[in-house]
Amino acid sequence: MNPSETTQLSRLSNDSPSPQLQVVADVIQLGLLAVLLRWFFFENSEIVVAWQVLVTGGLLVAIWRSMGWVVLMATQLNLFVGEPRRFDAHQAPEAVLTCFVILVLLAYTCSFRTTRREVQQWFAKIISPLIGPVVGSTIGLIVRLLNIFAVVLVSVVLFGLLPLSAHAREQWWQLSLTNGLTLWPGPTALVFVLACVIVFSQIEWLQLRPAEARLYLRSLFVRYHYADLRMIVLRQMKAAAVKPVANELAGPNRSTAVAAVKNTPAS
Amino acid sequence: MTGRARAIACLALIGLCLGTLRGQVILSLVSFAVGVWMWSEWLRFQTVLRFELPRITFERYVNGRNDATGTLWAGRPVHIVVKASCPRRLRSVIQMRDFVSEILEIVPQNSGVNARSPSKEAEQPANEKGLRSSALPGHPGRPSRAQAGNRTGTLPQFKTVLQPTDWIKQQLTRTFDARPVVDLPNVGHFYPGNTETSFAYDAHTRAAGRITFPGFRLTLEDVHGLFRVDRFVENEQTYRIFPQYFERGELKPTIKRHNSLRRHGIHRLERSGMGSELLELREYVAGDPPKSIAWKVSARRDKLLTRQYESEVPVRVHLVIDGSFATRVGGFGLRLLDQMNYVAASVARAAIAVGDPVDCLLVDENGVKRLPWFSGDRGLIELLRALADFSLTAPPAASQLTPNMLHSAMGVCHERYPELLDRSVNKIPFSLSAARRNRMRLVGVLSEVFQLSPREQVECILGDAKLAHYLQRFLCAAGTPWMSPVLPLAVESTQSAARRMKALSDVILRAIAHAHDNEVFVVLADLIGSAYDLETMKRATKLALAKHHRVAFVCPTSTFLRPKAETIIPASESIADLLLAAELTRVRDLALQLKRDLIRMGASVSFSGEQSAIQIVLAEIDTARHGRRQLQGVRS
Repeated sequence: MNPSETTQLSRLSNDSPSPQLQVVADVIQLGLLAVLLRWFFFENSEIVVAWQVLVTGGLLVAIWRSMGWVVLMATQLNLFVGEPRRFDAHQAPEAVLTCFVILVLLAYTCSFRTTRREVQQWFAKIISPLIGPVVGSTIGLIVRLLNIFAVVLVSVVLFGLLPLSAHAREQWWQLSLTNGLTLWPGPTALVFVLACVIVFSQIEWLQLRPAEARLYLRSLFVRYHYADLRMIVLRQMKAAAVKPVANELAGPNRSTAVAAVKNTPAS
Repeated sequence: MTGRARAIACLALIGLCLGTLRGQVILSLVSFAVGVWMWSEWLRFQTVLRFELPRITFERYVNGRNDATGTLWAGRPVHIVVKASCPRRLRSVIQMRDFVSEILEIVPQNSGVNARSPSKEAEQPANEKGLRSSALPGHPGRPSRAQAGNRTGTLPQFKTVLQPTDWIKQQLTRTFDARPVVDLPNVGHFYPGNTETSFAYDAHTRAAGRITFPGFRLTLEDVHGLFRVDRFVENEQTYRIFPQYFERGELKPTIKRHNSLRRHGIHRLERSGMGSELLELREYVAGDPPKSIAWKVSARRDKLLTRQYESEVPVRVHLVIDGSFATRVGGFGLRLLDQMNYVAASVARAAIAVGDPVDCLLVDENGVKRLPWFSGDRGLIELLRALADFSLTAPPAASQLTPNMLHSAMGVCHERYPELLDRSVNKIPFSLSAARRNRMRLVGVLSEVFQLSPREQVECILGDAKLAHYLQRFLCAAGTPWMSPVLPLAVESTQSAARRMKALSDVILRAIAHAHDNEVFVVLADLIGSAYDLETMKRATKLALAKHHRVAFVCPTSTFLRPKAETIIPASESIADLLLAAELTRVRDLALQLKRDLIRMGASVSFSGEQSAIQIVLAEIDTARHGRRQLQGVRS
């Protein structure tokens, strides 16, 4: 084993916390998740405790197995059943917070394998500062949370612009009417989308490796001319199949035999 | 986009529609935010794919060296270390798989890639490190029949019956990794936040030839497991694999009876020459060197007497190796050619070690290749290099297209050219049939690999023969041996067997014409496969023996077992055992008949490619040196 390999292995072994710490970190993570899930799903609920425990346990298993779609479906179902159809303006902070929590939960579930390890390391560093600086890990986790928050903010802004809610639909109609009966922001969006398509396709083309580019051009050519090429090749194959038979039949009346073969219907 | 991403996107769309229709703003907002989040993750993934992935550098160390070319030995262990480094901290998960052809047998290991520690390696018992070294006593690198039967390429062996504890362990492991764990030794992971990683694995070379490590198959996945893409990174390293040889004890010089070679050797010849052993004393003749005068004897006899010394001459060995179609069929390490290489290399080494020159005649369907005389250590290396090159599997003759061949080629494409199978690059004509679409996509990859014209591409799509031809070439280039699926079950025709024997006989006759005196012809050929067409070979053998040469035949069998005279009883009534017994019986009958005929003529025969065959050949060489089978005249 090379010295650098040994160094790498020792570095990795130093980074991973002890099994006891891992278990403690896992228990704390799952406990916090259980509290969060109970708060989100069963706050002010009158469902039987056993049922609550069962659902929470099921969701924890889903999180443990990185089944993000189960968590999303459960939250959507919860909102579908429990959310009132009327939306007031003072509910906006609650909506943003709910959205943020669900996205964090979803991201955590999907990336459970890596995030769990990061949290374990972060926890180990908090417990024993000798292992390494805790600042880096904390910043990493905060940055990821900020990213999700930024996504939520962008979503809120876009949600307000697009005609998805009743209020936004009204606003959109009004803007379209004032814009000379042109669907707002039709032309602007079209130009923007076209520009994006051109830019992205150019970037994609430039990123292609020579072999990929060659294959792309060749396969496009074959796709466009497939019918002609197919006809040529089939005719050639048929001729190649006829030739030996014709030679076999060729005797004194060769021309007759060839003509007879040519007149036989193609299979 | 992975299945997980599709499920989440689908749910988000449904939630958005329901929320919009029912006027539930939070449901709509959450579903919409999930969509935006996925889009942002896609952008981030694309950034990593386009700009971060090309910056990752890979290095592969084969036995501690990362040269582009090198040399390995068949049957010996190979330690491979792969290192990857990125200038910045990685933001995605990358699974790296070192693409290895079948000529390399990866040693399975239980420990994970990065969990291997020096202490564990030190604790590993020596017999585990050289797993195959103890397979057979006579042939260190050859797998036993049981191993040969269980060969499944580079994939790991899985238990068929799972114990409850195993199931629990599997489930726990699944929960940790969220994906099915494939514990392949040649797979490593590059996790987010790291700037470098490495993994190592051990392997054994199965046979002589050449191995090319083309590069690494990367599976890039974002941390949330929403997007995944496969890429292949070129990192080509090519190694020539020398055949292994049996290390015999030091050979001692013997007496040779006749010689017409001018070369210097170490075997004593009872003719006057420039050797160190005294032959006789005779009267001095003008012109004799003064230093050879025996002064004491001359003084006693009162006349000048001069010493005559023996000559020291070599014995020439001709290796005639049959590399025809029949000897190349089979898995690496199990082919007849591999057994022949082993015997040839061992004999050559033993002969060259005592100063005897070795000639090599390589015969295959393309003709005869006569190699120059080899002697000395450099000559041995040259000979081994020639044998390694001769073992390379050129594409066989075109055969029928089989579904298995298509399936295997598609598998190789997925491993070796994943980016060329991408639908955005590999456009295909419209077709309703999924099998047809797969075939078109595969032909697209072949057209790029072999630089086919559009017309040839369409010929491959429509015609099976042409596609079979290119698929064979493709699979052979990927290191697949001549067996299913490259070749369906093939039986050599009688005509080709007769042609093969004719070619071998011609080669031997030409070699006899160039031979000087009692030389040794070692014919390594598949005689059993052409047992009914041996007349020409028998004539050549008779001529060689009539000219006082020695002839030894080595005919390895596909079963690795020497035919015995006893009745063969199947171990059980299973189809495999019955087939094995039938094959052994067939080989035994043919071998005994052949052996009787050839021994009656005066040639030696061995129907194995193991130590016993080497001993028989070396005994023939000894006989050529001193005229008898017993070791005589050994210089102490």
